[in-house]
Amino acid sequence: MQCILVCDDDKQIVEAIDIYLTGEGFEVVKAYDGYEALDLLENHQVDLMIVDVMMPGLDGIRTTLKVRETSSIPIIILSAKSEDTDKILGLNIGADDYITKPFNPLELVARVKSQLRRYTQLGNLNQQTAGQIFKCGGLAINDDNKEVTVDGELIKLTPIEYNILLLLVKNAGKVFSIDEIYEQIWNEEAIGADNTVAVHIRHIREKIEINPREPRYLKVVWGVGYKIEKQ
Amino acid sequence: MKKKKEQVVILHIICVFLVVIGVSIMYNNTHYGEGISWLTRETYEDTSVFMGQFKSDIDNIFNYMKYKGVFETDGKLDYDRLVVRVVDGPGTTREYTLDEMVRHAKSLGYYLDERFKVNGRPPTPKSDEEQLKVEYRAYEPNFQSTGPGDALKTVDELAYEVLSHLGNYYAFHYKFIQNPSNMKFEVKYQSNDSDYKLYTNVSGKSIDELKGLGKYLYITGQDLYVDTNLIPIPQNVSSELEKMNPYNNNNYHMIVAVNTSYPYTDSYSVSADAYNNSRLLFIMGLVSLCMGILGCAITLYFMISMTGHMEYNKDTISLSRIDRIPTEWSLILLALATLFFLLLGKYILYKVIHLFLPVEKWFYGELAIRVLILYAMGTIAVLSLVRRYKANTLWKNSLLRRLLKNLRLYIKNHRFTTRVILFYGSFLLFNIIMALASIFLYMIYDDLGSRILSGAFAVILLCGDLWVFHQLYRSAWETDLINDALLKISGGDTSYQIDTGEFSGKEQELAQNINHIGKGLETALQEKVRSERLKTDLITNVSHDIKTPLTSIINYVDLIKREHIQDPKIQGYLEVLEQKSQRLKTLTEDLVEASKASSGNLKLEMADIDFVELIHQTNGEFEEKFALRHLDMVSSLPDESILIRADGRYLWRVLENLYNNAFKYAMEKSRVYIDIVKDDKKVVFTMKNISTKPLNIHPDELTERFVRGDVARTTEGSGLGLSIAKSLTELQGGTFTVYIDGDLFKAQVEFFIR
Repeated sequence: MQCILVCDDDKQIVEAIDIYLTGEGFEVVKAYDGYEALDLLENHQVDLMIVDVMMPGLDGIRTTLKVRETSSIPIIILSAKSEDTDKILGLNIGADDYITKPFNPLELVARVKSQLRRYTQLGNLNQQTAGQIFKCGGLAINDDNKEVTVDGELIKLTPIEYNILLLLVKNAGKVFSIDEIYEQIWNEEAIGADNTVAVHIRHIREKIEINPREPRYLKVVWGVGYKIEKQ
Repeated sequence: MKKKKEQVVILHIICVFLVVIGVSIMYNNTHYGEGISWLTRETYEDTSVFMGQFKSDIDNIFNYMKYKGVFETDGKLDYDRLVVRVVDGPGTTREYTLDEMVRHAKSLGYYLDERFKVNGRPPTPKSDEEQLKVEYRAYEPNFQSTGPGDALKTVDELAYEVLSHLGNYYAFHYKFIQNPSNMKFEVKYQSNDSDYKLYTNVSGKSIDELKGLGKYLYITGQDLYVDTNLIPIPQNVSSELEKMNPYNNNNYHMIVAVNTSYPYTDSYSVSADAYNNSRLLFIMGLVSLCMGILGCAITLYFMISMTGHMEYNKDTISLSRIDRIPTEWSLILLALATLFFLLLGKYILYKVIHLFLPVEKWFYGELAIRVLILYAMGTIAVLSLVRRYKANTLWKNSLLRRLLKNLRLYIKNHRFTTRVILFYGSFLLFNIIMALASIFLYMIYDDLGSRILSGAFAVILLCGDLWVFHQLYRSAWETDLINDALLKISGGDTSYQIDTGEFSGKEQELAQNINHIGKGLETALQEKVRSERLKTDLITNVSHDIKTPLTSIINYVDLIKREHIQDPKIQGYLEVLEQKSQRLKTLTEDLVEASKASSGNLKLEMADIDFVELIHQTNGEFEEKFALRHLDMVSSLPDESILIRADGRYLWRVLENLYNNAFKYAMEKSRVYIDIVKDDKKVVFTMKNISTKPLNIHPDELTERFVRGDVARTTEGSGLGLSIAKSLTELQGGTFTVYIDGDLFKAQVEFFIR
């Protein structure tokens, strides 16, 4: 049973998270400030940590820094601060994910699972060698059996969606405009107004991203096109 | 301090007297008028006085040589010598000896005084006295009558003549032969070894010995040049010597020497002493003058630095009564006092001077008194001015300043236009007067003075015009600077300040006022920015604080839902709770965004964006959402790509809000029209839809915060969407407009094409 440390000064929120995670079969240890969290980390075998930023005593940022001195467990920051700068700061000092309050409990559970998968199962990259595999972070495409996995979980895509994703993953980092994608996938000239490609992209995002509004892999470059972030 | 001051004043007076003494000595010296250069002639022998004496003594020597032949026999005075022969009226020749003539003279009452001069005046011939024709006079052997009556003399006259010549002989004899003299001479004409004539007052000395005495003149018959150490060489001595030569050969010589150590008292030694004394006195006078001037300067410096101060090292200046009245008045008072003292001097001190000084020195004495009075009063005036200067009242307390102040008041209180007219009028007047004066002088007079004056007028005219040009140029330059500043300030650079250091007059005032305006604007702007930021900060913080409890609400509502309570009533309540908490969530997020967008507190990353592509992407994102409400998306987009300059993320937010708006408020099963129209400069995106509810509201109000089309606010949404969209569009340099025509809602987003 995997153990998750939840640290927030708001007891009700900790309680709620406890209920969700326990429901998903995780063991939960609870802390209400940074010092408590650090103490618990020393005495328990913790696999993942969820930490709030604004806490009395030691805040989430400094707690994360402290933890990172000794441990490499996944850390998810859960904060009411939703500014871009806050997210960038949190991710830069060592957190693996950043979720803003108020959060969707299902999304939180999904992200916890994703991080754990990444940490425990997919830590070693050289496990899968068979076939032609394109990888980008937790996203892997096996072109031989046309399988796509995100953090090890199999994703079902239509052929067109698969082709679009393959095109983008193959050329990770490059931005493709709608016309370019259309011409590559449909093999005919893109004539005039059509938002078919945009709709397909949206479908792909909904399938491979945890939160399609804040995509990790398939990013929209507004007014230019789409790309897969190189990781 | 006071004692010190008195000491300095006394010292100064002493120094002034030193100057006066020095000047007096130099002024009254016999050598006054020769300039200071006479001091370089260090000895008496170098002076023209000595030369004059020497020359006259040479003449005396020649005279003596003549008299010797006339009055002496074998080197002794011979009273029996025949001196005059006359012919009387009837033709009888009469002869007189020296003895007879001297006795006749004595009988007439003449005698020789101590300087061997005949006392009294020459006798005037009486009308009845017998005129005698002079045939021979021993002292004038070569006399030739040149006019009628020249040769006629009375016996009295002849006797007087003889006596006076005898006096001359005695004088020389007494001076140079009888008494020892500093001047030695020897004249010798030689025919052969035994036959010679020798005139001398020295015996047994060789020529070289005589030369060694000091100054000498040595002339021989053989040499053509004159051997002497005198400068300049006395003239006509050689010719005179030759004239006296009885032998008609060149075997003669003459030496005249002056013993410059002056062992004997004679006219030379007396003159030399007098010369040396006066030279010494002159030098003393000069030294006294120089020391006096130096002392005056030093004490004056101390007086100037000390005056006004009552104590050491204190800057407080105490002013006497005379220093308190206006500067010009005190100067006039001092001038009156000076006049009074001058008059006093004239009536009292002059008389005192007259008592003590000889009449020829009176003028000098009076002059000295006048100068001293003027100097004393001048010093007092200067010290008073210095005190005023120290106390800063020199200008402040002057009538001229008051006058100027009043004048300035007079000029200043006119309007600018009046001032320009006044200024131009006086400029014109100045030009005309100067030009006329110059031309008039040039045309009428042609002497040098008038030409110079005419030129001066022309130069003044030129300078005046140049000055006016400079002022005009300066004014224009200042106006330009002010204009620049106004442009800058109106362009938004409110912190711009004009450097008023080089400005003057009205322009300076103007520039300073503009600076004040700029400063005021800047302050207001900063205040506004600060309050905007405070507001944003407040909203952000509040939203953070709301979010935490909101998280609990949402989570626990969700948890209750998971309990699968079958009671439909509770399910209904839960639905409401969930809906409202979600709305609260949107609301807090939108609130932060709206405040940031409207305060411009966002960092834009502007890039070239294909607007058409962006609309395609947006359409793609919303196609299925619109399908949920059966909204038909009718878009007419151009095939070409249209590039604009914007931040893609925020432009997406604008469009997202618009599309969401249509999704929320458009009538179900209606069409949403999406167009892009392009003209020369702009690209216009238009979205049109039919509202479900009547839009009885002004379009401008829709883009204000918390305003929604449905006044009842029953639908979801924060009422911030359009406001955010408008703010964001404007931040990116576009325009966002909303039109309402009945139930038709139309939104336009305009951007400039790159």
